[in-house]
Amino acid sequence: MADDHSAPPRDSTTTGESSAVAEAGGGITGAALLNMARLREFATLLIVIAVVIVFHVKTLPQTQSDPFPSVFLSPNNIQAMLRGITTEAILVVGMTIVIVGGAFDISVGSILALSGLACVFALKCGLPTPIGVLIGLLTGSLCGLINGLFVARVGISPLIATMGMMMVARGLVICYIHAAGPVRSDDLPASFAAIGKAGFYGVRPAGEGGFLNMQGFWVMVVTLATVLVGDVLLRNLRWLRQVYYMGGNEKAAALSGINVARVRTVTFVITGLTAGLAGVLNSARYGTASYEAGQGIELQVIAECVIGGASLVGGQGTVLGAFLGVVLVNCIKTGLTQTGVPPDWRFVIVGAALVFFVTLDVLVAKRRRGA
Amino acid sequence: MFRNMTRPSMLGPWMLLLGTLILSSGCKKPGDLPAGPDAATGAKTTATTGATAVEKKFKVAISTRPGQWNLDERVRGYKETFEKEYPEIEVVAEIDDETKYEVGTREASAVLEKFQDLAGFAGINAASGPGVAKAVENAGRSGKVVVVAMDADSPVLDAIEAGTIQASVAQRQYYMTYLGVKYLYGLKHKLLRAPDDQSADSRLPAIAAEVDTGTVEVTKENVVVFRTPSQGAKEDIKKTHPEWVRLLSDRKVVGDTSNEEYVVIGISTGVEYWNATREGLKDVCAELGVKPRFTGPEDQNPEKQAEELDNVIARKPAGILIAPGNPETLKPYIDRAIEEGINVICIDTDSPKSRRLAYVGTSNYQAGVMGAHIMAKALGAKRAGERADDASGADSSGSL
Repeated sequence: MADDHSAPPRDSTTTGESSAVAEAGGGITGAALLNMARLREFATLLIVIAVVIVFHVKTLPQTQSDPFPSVFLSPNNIQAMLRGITTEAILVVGMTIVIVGGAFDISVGSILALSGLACVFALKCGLPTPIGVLIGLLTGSLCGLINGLFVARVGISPLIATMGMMMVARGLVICYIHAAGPVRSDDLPASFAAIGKAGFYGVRPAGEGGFLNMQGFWVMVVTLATVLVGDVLLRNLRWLRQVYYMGGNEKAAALSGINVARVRTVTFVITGLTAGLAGVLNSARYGTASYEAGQGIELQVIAECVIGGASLVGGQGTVLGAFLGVVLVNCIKTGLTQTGVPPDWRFVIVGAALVFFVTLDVLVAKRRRGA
Repeated sequence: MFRNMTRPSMLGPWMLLLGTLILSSGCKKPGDLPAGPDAATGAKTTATTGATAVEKKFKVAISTRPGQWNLDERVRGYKETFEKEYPEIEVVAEIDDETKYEVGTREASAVLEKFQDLAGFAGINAASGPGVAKAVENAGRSGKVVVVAMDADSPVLDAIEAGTIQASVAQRQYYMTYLGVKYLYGLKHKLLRAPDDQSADSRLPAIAAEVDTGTVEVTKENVVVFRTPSQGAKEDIKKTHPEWVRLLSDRKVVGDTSNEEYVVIGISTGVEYWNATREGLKDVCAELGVKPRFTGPEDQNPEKQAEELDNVIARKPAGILIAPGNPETLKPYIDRAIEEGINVICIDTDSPKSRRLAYVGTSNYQAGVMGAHIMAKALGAKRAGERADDASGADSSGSL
């Protein structure tokens, strides 16, 4: 019965997509360009490009020894930015899905820390790296499942349920590290460290082997693959697209035959799984599991989803948009570092930018509706 | 492979995880402390030190952030000094203040309630002392509970002036950046060599692998000295460390160095603690004719700090001073900077397993030892086997 009603409409008001997607195969016409410009992702991309240009100009070489073509666009800085966005980029995949479904999850940072710890703990016990990674992913998924069951089956609000998980998961990590001491990179197998460090040609000293051999290359590959898979599935997988219906109008979705509780639970499991993946990769990158891992990242990830077009009331947003939100926020942060803005001011500027972009989006949407 | 986990050697860590997850969450919290009869009645306990039973006259609590390497070292300094030198002092509680005043006040209030005969409270980080002092004041026990704090931020100095904190152990952040940048400049221009650099000219003076920048006792008598941006260090450095002032004063460097950038990466940069660090950076860069840059995450987030270090590496600065928020988290990034040919020195906190060239900062263990001596003197505790005549603690950097 549900199958007849489970495919939501593919219109721009619910998914942020437009007919430009459909027209893309038939050559770019004026109307197609106009439609493309209406895409939220396209607008965010334009803002990203504008921000990149501003920081490029602001960090042009002053002396011969300065990086070329600018500090901001130097290969080293681009590598650093790519490494820097991996954790958030993975987290936004799950967070977008849960937000589109009309909820949110503030426990992702703590699940990340707990999953990373579970993984390195398994490795310290002598288990092979793939099993350790699997344990990390399962830990994240289990936490997500618990969140989902509390929200969807028990009926606790997502804020309270995930706040509880946030505290419990973080508390468990703190308890373990206080009792057993910090995890040291020497305790972990080289194969695990290689996940975080290796470039295209394997583990080599920094600066050797060119851009492809950047440290963390494979983490970046996994990140991009996760974003790509998440975006494609959310757009095209019939079952997953039910979250748009659910987020748009939960009661209507239930009446149309969608098993809301099951879909809601799965969205939290996906969020937990992505947090688990981020936790495992985080531990591989840093060679440790610390109780500070992922601290405070949840609000930033939610903000990045919103910047990328997700609506906190549900029913709207795409993984690609959220990913561009991550890129935009990190471009601003890195640019502020590279232009020498004092750390005290960065909170103010990033916060103001968040409000600015979301306000801009709301105003444009209002005008479009008016037109 | 799963069979391995059932062996006793493999089972241990799993049991440890399970046990710690279930049991240890609040084991250091006041509510979970063993409530012996002394807790309720205020009766004095006894303990055995060596062959002689020593009466435990003074109950002391510690406010810290467990798990943070530098703070753990200070706590170790306190505890070992009490244990070895002041057997009359007993540490009865250790609270986690999360390096926040309000949390410290809340947790300390619970300890004060539980131990009505508590004689002293040691604050291990900059926020601990004022947090504890507020709790003592709220409990109406100012003057009855000795509070020894850490650092010389304004709230600590205010509380010392008000008499709610008896003394504090001040670090010399100004010295850390002053000497650290001089080291980096000397290494960059081959005027100095790294401690274990075999390829460098052996006639060059080597920098020290570890420099203790010392601590100073702050009391009501000298508190005004610490009200300057450098917390008195700028005014004092010629007297306490003339060799650091002389270092590189006769340097001969070919070419223009005015575009050379020396970067300090702190953590929780919004706190007042870093003001003296910035002051030292500004002064030493002006002296050497190079550019200063101070950066770092606003919160206590080592991962953000690592990403910031990654961004700074892209700038190819002349040298980096970093206060690692977590030695393990920062290790791969410090190593990357070294691989990129950028000299890195740790200040304030160390990452000893990384490839950093040196550590310039407080010996955190000695800071704890000094705090313990100050506490013991204020309490009037006897040293093991003798009367405490000079329990003021050694000022390892000279007096102000």
